[in-house]
Amino acid sequence: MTLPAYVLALLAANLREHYSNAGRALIFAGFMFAQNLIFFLAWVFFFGSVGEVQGWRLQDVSMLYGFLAFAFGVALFLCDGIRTLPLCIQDGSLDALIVRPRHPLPALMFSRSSVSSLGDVLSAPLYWFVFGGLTVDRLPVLLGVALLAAAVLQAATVLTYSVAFWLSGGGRFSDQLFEILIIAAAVPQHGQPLGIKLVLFTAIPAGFVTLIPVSLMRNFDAWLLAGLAAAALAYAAAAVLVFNAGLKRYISQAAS
Amino acid sequence: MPENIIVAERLGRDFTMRRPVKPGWRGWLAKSVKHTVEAVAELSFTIEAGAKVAFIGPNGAGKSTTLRMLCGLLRPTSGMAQVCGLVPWKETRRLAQSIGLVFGQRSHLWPSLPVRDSYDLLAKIYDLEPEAYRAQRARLAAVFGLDELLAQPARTLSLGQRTRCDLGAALLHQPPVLFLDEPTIGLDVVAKALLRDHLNLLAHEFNTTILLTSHDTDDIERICDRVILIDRGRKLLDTSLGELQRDYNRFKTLRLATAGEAPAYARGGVTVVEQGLHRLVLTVDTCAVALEQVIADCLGRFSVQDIAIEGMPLEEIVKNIYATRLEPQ
Amino acid sequence: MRPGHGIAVLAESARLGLKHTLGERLLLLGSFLLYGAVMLTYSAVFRAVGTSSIAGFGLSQANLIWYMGVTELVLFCTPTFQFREFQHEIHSGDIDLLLVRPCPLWIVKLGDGTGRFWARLLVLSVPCLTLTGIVAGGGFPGIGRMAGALLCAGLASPLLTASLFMLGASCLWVRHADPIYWIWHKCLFLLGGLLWPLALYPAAVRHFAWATPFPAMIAAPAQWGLPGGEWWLAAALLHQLFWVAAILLVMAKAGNAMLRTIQGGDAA
Repeated sequence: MTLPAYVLALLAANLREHYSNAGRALIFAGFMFAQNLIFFLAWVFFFGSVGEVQGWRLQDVSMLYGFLAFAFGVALFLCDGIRTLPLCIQDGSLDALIVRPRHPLPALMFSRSSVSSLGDVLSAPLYWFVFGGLTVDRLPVLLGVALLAAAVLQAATVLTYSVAFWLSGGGRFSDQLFEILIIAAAVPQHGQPLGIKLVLFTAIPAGFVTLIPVSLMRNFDAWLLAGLAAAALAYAAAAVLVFNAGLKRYISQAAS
Repeated sequence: MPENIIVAERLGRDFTMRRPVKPGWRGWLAKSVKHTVEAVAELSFTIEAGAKVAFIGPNGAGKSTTLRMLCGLLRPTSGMAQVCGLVPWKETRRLAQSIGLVFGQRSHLWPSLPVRDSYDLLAKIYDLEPEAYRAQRARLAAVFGLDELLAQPARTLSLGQRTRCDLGAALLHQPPVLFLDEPTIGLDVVAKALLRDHLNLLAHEFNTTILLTSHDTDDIERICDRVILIDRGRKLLDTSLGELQRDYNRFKTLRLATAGEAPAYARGGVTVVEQGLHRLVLTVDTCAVALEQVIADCLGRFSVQDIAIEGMPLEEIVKNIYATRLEPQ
Repeated sequence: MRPGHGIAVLAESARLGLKHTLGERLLLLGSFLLYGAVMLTYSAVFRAVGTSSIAGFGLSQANLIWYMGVTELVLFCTPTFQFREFQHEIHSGDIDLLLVRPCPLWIVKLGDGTGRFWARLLVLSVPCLTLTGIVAGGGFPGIGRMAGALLCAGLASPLLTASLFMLGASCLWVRHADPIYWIWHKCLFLLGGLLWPLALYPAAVRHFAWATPFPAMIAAPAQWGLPGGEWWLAAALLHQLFWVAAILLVMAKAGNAMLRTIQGGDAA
């Protein structure tokens, strides 16, 4: 079986599981959708009082939330399994994936799907088209940019949870690092000082997840889009390298 | 005459369950339908103070449901019960002062904190005097060998060690009644034996009334002096362990190792339990046929290399009772 | 049950909660890093806000940063995962052993949650508020005001713990309480005034928010970081005290309802 066929089989298994409990899936996705809107109201009230923040208005923040919800939703709907890595290391269940003839990373990533993330994905169009003022004719660019942002977030998630290879009992710590990434991505970053921007485009790649996509939708620039694609590739490569290094350490420790 | 510390009269409990609808047009209206399952029915018994009683039955027999009703975790649909003079499901918190619970694979202990800390909290929960608490803890530590374990976080203990600590936790407030639901589940052979020894010591030291459910008949043989057999929520038998074994003493197990590859044997009053390569296991009903006669017969027919005669193990006795009592159904 | 007995159990479980949390050094470090991330990113947003647009509300950029410094501190001191732990205890059946005890479970959980909250407050308050001071670059409300904010944060802990207990317990009736928890969490953010003072909200929303318990959990302690008259602080304190009393009463009722539901075999 080729890798894409293998991944599709894993995805199909997750979808079948959601379908078998469709009522639960609908409730989880629906409530996630609702909670996103409740949180966004805080920004509506804020901009209602302050008008704008250094040239950014509510529409821009709405676009930002659209990209974040889409990236977060896609990453966790497809590949939530990576967040079980600390537990798999702790209880030894990673061994079962290692002894398989395939690389354990895809099996781990696609081993679980968060059904509530579907609510995030569904709330993205609302942010883009209703609050963000985008028109449907921009959908092809929008989707391309959003998928690249999702790829960066997914790679960053693998990097964050791979920390558990080095820190024993670091599951909650990895969760916190992941939260830092989400928090940073959920804030307008255009007015951040240079030092923070440097962090947002390196260690915590929140800038690639929301700032660049919003900039691209405000003023499209092919070079910026190419930069985003390059960043997605670079973070994906880094994620695989770090995961492999962690895996090597795990195997050598298990052998000793 | 000792007083009855546990009384159950015509105790019954139903559960409403859902069952999938058979394929057909009804499936369009609802995926499942409700139906009532009788978990326990018309169950009556009394237990006197200091007794050690085992509740035996297959999965779904109603053992745990009965235990949950007696400790106040479940309200019955019919009947009544009293434990230490209290109605469990009405006076749950008052009753808690008089009972100890050990449920296999569940714990009283905080996983990340030393066992001693969990004990300290339990002492406050049970409102124990500091002196009395310390004395009881020391006593339990001596009986169960907990001295080394008290300073360790519960999550670092083996299952056997944790079960011993849980037993200690359940007994800190010196309850007159101890409910044990599958206490040895998941333990290895050594840990099981150790726990049984500890429970016997406990019964001897504190004169605690024990009500035990277990799948493991060894637990029952080693700990209990009375057995209540239930199936499908109804009582099949209530007798002392000694009497039960005496009743079934007429059955003997004969184990033979033979030179011949496929030993075969048939005779009235003899049941073939196992027949294998160079191996034959027979159950002999000594009321129907003399054991000596069967042995002589076997020695004449096979070239016997080894022979062993055993009483019927409790597990076989229980199987036998279920087989004979449930036959008409 | 004697009141003294309940207080002894509350104190002992709080001690254990405190001890448990002080042992989680990596988590405390992670919480500080998260706090730092929030403060650094949001303070840049607040500094980019036009001063004239918030001056009408009697606020400055530094005020917004100090306000958020306190709200985020309260949030990071809240052991929100207690909700999941409790839900797991119910689903796994571990709850059985905890319910058959002479002291109601809610007292133990209240003590545990409060102890965990205070442990985090003890460790995180100084570094977090120092960081806020550095990020704000001025506008320090004063030692007295900060002490008031920390005390009110402590008062918010039983409110937050009680809410998490009831949210966890709700899985007895709805099977999976996560969706209810998400909505509660976002209502806490929105109506509790997590990101900015409720003064920036439209009047109708502001009035509605103050009629709910959420400001008592977050906005009331953070009010001490803002300029304003003492009468307003006293009103916020009274609001907190009212909701602490009300929620503890509901928590006790919820504890009894839990036992009745389990006894009835009616759990979802």
